[in-house]
Amino acid sequence: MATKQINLKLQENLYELAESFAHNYGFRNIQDLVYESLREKIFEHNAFDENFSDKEIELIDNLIVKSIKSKKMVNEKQLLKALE
Amino acid sequence: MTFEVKSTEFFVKQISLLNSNSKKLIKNKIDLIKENPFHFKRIHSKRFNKVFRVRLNIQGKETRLIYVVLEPNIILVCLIDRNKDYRDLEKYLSKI
Repeated sequence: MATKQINLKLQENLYELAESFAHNYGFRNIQDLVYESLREKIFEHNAFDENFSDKEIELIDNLIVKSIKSKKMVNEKQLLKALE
Repeated sequence: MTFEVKSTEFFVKQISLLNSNSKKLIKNKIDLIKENPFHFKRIHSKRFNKVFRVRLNIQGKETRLIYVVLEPNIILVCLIDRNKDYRDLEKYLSKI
């Protein structure tokens, strides 16, 4: 996967805390700590909704599979038109 | 990563029956999905590992918008409401 590089400015005390945290909790470096922190933030709501029945899931899966196979898909332009 | 949004024909059929406020609500949710497709909770799909649901209230009914992320596409799959009536969906599936 392609990567992008960013520069990150931190206040000195925050940098020191991050360095100490990374060292104490087994991160290779601050970059790894930042990477993990970002993942936690972005995916923090990414648990599962357990309220779907097997039947609902089967119907959803079938709809996805059949729509893709039969190419019965609508592009974004047409979708936005339908939402007007 | 830039995702391309598509939808199933069935989803378009469902939204075409909605009033303008509901359509606006769905449009807002789609904008949120585009911003971060991995924000919402997943469901236990047996065939795909990135199927998500968005909770919304449409015309007084508790509804779920279901979508799947198949890079580079986000596919809006359907609306499911809690009264458990799937006849429309079953009928559509039997035809395609």
